[in-house]
Amino acid sequence: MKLVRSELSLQRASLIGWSLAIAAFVALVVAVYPSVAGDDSLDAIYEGLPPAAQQLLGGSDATSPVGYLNTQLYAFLLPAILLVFAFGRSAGTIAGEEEQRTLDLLLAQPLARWLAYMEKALAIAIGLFLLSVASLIPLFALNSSAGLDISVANLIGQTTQMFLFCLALGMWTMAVSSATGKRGLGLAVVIGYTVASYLIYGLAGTVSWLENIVPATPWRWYAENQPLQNGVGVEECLVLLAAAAVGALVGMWFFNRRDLHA
Amino acid sequence: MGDIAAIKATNLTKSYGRSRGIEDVSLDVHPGEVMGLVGESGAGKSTFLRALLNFIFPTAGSLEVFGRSVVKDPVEVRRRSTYLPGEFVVPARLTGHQTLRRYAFTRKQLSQGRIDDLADRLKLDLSRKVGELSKGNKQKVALVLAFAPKADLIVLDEPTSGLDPILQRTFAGMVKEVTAQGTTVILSSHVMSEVQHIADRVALLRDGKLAAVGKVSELLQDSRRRGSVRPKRAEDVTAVAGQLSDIEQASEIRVDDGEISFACVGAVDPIVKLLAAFDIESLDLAHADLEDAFFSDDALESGEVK
Repeated sequence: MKLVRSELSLQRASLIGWSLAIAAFVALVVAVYPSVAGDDSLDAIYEGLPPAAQQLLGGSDATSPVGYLNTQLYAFLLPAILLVFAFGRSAGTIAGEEEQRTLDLLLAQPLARWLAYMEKALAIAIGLFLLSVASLIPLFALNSSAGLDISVANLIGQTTQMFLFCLALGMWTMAVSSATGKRGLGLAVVIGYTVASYLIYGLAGTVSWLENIVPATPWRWYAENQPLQNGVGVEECLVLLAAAAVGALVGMWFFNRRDLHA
Repeated sequence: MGDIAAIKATNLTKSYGRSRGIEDVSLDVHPGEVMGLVGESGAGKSTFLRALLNFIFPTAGSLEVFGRSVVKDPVEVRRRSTYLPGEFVVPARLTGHQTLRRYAFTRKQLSQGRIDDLADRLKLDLSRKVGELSKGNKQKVALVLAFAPKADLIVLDEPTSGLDPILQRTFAGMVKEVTAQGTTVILSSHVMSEVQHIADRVALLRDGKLAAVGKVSELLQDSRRRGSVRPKRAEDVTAVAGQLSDIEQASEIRVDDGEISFACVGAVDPIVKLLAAFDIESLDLAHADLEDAFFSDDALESGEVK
């Protein structure tokens, strides 16, 4: 676990910065809620949108506590912010170091490559976990004073699914980047997949033939069971966790047996 | 340890898509020895050194460090080895101390006393950020990283690049010190003169192939030196040139304005004896130079050096 510690201590300042920024963003969104709660015009805007857009933006209800948090936080913005972190870290951790030519020195140590890979993956998971917790704190703190009164269990369930969703996509970014030594390739492949699957997920309600491929979108496993309303989905969590684990193993397998670029 | 080789490469080949890499290199390095790897850039020095640490996988042949296969047992090999990369890059925001922590955190026998001693000898301030250091000072950080942990094998890729002559001497002292304790050192350079005083033996790499390997003095014996002679009497010029061309140690004989230039390979004695029969105005014989030996194409291709 020495590499995990080294990774986290290198990123300490950045992790603190990200956590504060995310907490501040969530606090702001929550603090605005009381002034939106009774405002029908916001609902009217969302109701006027086509169904696909509603699906993408988190539904047509923007003024109930659950609807507000879905549309303003969880449907897009908050996972997108976490994804920026996950993509950057995952592509940067091995392939990025390789491109900067610092990886040789790190791996000149008596450390098995597969273990280095797993410790680096774990460090990313811990970072994502910290940011997820940071997003929860203002919700807990302002839950009742902002008039949201959402069950703590559901908030945790929603955040858990968001964390696993970002982790799975991060692990596949790391896998493609590390397997090839090309930072940009992992980013391009996984960001492309994430965006395309977001559109498919949104359009599936309108374009019927897309429904068959919805299970292949990570968004379905993140959002469809509406954890904020219905509580955490165990099946959803397991699918996302399995996707993350398979991604990590695939990347590790390739990284363990390829040449490092000079 | 006995007679287990520190490094044993057998028909080691690493081919990349293009021409870089190494081909069929067999090389033994003995424990406690300093082996110099010399060749022009692209000759395969870094490829060989990076294969030692299992950064790259051999295409064919085998590579062992202290009897352990580098491919099957890379962690054990790296546990006993330290490495100085050909191009030392670490995150610029790290200080020297943080760099050591980041890149030597698995080293069990890393003593602060040893680090401070090395930094002191190299006149290096480890509290400064690496990004603010000059190229030479960065290289010192790399040297501390390679020499501070207790290691049985130290792998150094171009260790003296960026070091001024005084520091090169400090470096040579550090190498001598660790080898006295039984550590094996393998180092590369594209400049023979930087290696020839430090290394017990040198291996010359050329286009990925091992062109020659041996003690510096042995290689020097076989290497060519340039000479020129000017007889006192103009009428002797043709005779001297003619007789020189009859002995095998002299070649490339050219006459220019009463002066005869030649290349000498091997013993000088026959040439000197031959010239003794004439009145000689001047005689120049260059220092035997490995650089010369190494970079003269025909000497290598005809196998004279080998």
